[in-house]
Amino acid sequence: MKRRFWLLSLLLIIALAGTAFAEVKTFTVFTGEPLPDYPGSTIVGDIIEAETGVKLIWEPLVGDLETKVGLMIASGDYPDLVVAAHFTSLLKDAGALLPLNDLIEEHAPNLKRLYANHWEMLTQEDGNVYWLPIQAIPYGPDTSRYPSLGFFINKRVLKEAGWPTIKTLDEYFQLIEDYMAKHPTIDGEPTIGYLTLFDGWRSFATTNVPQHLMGYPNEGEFVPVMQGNRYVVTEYHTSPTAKQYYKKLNDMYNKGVVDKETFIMNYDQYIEKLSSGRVLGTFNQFWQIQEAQNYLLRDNPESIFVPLPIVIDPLVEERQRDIPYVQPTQGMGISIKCKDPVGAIKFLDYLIKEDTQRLLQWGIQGVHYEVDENGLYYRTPEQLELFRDPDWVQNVFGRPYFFNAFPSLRGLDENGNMFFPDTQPHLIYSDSTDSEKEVMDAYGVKSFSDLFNEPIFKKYFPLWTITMPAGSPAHIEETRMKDVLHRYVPELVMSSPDQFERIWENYVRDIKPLMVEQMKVYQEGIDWRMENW
Amino acid sequence: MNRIGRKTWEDRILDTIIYISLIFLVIVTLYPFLNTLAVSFNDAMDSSRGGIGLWPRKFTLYNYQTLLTRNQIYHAALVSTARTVLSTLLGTFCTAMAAYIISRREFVLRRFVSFVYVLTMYIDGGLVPTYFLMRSLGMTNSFWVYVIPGLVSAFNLIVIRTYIAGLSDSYVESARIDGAGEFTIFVKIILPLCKPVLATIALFIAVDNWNAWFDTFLYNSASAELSTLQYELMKVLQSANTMSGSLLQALSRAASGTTNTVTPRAIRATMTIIVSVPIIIVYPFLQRYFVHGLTLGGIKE
Amino acid sequence: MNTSVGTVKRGTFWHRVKQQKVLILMTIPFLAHVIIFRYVPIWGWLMAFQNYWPGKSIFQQTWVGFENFRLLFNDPVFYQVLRNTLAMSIIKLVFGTVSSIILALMLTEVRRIRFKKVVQTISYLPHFISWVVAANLVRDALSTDGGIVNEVLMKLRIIKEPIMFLGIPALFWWIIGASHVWKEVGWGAIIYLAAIAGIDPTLYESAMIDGAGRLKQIWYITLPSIRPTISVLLIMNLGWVLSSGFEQQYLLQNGRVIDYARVFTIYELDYGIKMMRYSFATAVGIFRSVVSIILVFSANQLAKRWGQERLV
Repeated sequence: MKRRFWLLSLLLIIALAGTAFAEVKTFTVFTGEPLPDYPGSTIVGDIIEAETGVKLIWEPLVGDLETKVGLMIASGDYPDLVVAAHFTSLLKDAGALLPLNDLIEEHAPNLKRLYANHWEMLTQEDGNVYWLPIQAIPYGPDTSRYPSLGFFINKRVLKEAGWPTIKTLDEYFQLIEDYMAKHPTIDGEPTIGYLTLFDGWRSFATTNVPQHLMGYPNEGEFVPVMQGNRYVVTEYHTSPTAKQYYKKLNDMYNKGVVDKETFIMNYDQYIEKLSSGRVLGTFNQFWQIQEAQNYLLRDNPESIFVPLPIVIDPLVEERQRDIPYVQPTQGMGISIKCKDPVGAIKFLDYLIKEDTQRLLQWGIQGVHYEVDENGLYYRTPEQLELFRDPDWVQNVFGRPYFFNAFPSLRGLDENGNMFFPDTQPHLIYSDSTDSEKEVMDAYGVKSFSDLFNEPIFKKYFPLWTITMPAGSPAHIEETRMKDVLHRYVPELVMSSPDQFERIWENYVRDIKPLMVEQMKVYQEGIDWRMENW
Repeated sequence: MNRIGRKTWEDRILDTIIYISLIFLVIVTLYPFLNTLAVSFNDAMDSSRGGIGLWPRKFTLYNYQTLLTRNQIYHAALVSTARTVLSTLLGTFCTAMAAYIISRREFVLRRFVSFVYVLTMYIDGGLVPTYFLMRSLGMTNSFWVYVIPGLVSAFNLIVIRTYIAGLSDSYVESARIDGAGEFTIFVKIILPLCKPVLATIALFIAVDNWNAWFDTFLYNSASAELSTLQYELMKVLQSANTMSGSLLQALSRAASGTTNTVTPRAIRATMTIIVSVPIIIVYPFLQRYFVHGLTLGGIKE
Repeated sequence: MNTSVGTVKRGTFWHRVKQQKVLILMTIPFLAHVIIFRYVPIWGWLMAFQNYWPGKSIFQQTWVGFENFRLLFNDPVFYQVLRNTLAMSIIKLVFGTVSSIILALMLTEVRRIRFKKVVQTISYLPHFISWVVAANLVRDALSTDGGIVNEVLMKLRIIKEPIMFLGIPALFWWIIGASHVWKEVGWGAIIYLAAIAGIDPTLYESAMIDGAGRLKQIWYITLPSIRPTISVLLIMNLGWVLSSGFEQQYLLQNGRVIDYARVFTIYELDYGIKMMRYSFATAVGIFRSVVSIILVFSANQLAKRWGQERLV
């Protein structure tokens, strides 16, 4: 009897599935990122397919994006939905993207509501919107365990010094020097005082530092400084702060604090050294040291890195944390080859719904997360374990396929829960490791971000999302300027102290003329944003 | 061949130098491979600490599991094998034939044809024009794009031609006197004489085809059933970057000893092993043609 | 060797064409193939004379004449790149060729077949390791932080302080050369092994009867026999001196040696493709092609004058 029931319901399901199948729409998606093939069936994928009747076919990126986009444009074979990172505007110029204004107005109430505040940001010169930014839309405040960047210091150093509060570059290096003098070796290997990353495009980890020492968050190669009531684009590569910074590094290099090899090692070697636990300090954006930090958290928790807000002078006001921002120059568009643009926009509208976002980010209530008596979401240790397994999240749960390149929500919802689970405020501290908690307790904070000041809202933020017109004089200038930085910075740091002034003068002489065109472009962009956003 | 006589002092010194140099060479060339092998069997996160030598520090099969449990990997391996076998057979044969034709000293078009081929080594129209060509020939989303365009490569052609030129003309002459046609001469006389060089060229073509993924990317990325092994592996490698990127935040949440993760470094090492093992297995079969030493003793003037 | 039988030189051109109609017929499919697949796409070179912007057809682009070439020749970086590319390519070509030939000769002299096979198999293994992996091994070996090369040199008391090999501009080209030899010597030897395998063994037999030692046999029989192969490979490779290198330099370079590391392919990427200056990149490509062709055909003429095997 029971068996028959099961058989019947199975048949019913198949029949239902069959009818549903007949109505399935397919859209091809190119997300500009190398996602592996869709496993065929995933937890969120099946729900999305059942609710929308849409099946996505992903075209992964293998090889480089330039080539792929170049071929796409040359051949005119566009997928239905397309994200081309920094080539997005190129697709628009090539006439590959449909204007979305009317589609959103008529068929996408959720998108309309959510982008309402950013509409002018997305509008192109011709008055149309062609793409939806793929980054999460800032929606209330943002929190995280680690700030986006900082001067990182080995936990050992802080612990031994009795958890000091330090503010300036001099204090930071003093701490490192003192520790190094006492502990010339760690685990039998020579202690490395300070490392700075200088591998190819990643070398901004060294050259962007002056702006942060001046208290700014990551703006890019220039900083807009408020003068009167206008943000004036200002260069910092030749500023007194930059000079002081390189002089300090030079000093430390000659004292043996800065690693001898720091300018010739590549990223892999950098991560290796950081993971060895014998590096005392490094500056970077957090994501660049995360691989090492993960390793240390697991296997060497006493040597984890703690981010500190360091400035050049105690009078400088530190505002290094990122302001939540929308990246307006790239996003997801619907191509002219899409046969059903209405269906496509409806699908995107469905994806941005709060319920869908909750499903994608938190999962199913009672299965992937729980709700406590205050209505706050949390995960049990078993649930957490699942979401910590990247393989599971990707191939069983299926999040990246519907999340990574699609418009998504971030920030607080109406119930006080974060859409992005890792930023759920009351969990940041409780889900930290013991080693992390020890540091947080010592400084009386609930996250490492709290060691930093709250960011100040700036309408245009950040400068670096203004893109240079491809191949323009300003663009060529930018490449040449980076060449000059590549050539001079190692010399500035590694020369003998009496050579420093001479090299600095040559450096300033060579780099100054390579900023003019860029600053014009950025200034125009900032002015435009301040006026129109 | 017989060169074994009494050892002179010259022989002894020579042998010592040779053996010492070769053993040194073996050490420096074996190390990278063994190191890669060790990394491929080592826990990915642990490998990022560096310092892996010849033996894994934290043994795991997870890297292989990540690469080999993809949906399409076996089908892709099949496609790769098919294109490699077909390209090698057809490519070697066609190149040899073309080489024979232009090695004929009396042939009127000899210099012209050589010139046309040699030039192709140094000119390249670029990606987009080539793509348009393939598309207008109907070779996009087609298996044949793996075989047909690269059928005769100028480099291989010249190598074989040079080899044939080194052979004595008398075989061809006497065959012609016996009334053999061009094709018969080529198949019956030239091909068997060219075994060492053909084995070499076959190896070159096979390795190129086995390692190729860019043509899949350019022409066949829309047809899953034409995907190749290297292309599938490249996908995993590239996604390892994003995967470790997007999920790192989740990872740093708490230190977990059970967390499975792959890093680009671990994937690269594993890929290197997966891709080179078949070549290492097949190699000895080709090797006997050119390493046996002077095996061509059968040729008589 | 090369016993040229001059029997067919007689008769008029048309007479010969008639005589060789089978050969000519056999040539046609090959010519068609190479022209379709290798010459038709050359229309892409038109791009170098335009200000190409993706999304428009090649005929809708703005024509700029030789502007892109003018930009190229006026760029001071270009001359630096030219110098670096030539220097590294020539180092690689010379040392790569010589080392591969020596390895092939050594292997031929080994009488234990097993040993010979094993050495030969192992020696080509690094060829299959991508530069991304290999570069890290080179970096580790040359590191001042416990790198094997410094350790050994210090143990042998040749140096007192570890040397930062990769940070010395004067050494960079040689490190590129040496690591190239390490990675490709075994693979490069295969072609010479094949050439040696094709030598008529009776030559050695008669040499031995004349009492020639092994070195003499190498010098008077083996080397002359593989000379056509060496000569032809050298000429072909000469054409690639401006195209060679990319990953290796890209992955081993660093801020200290950047002025010595940038080669054409990197330049094309940084100042061309990455900025979507497709036309400029094409112009650089054409420049490389033209120089290559000039080099190859000059070398070919030289080879002809010296009586060596030629390409054409």
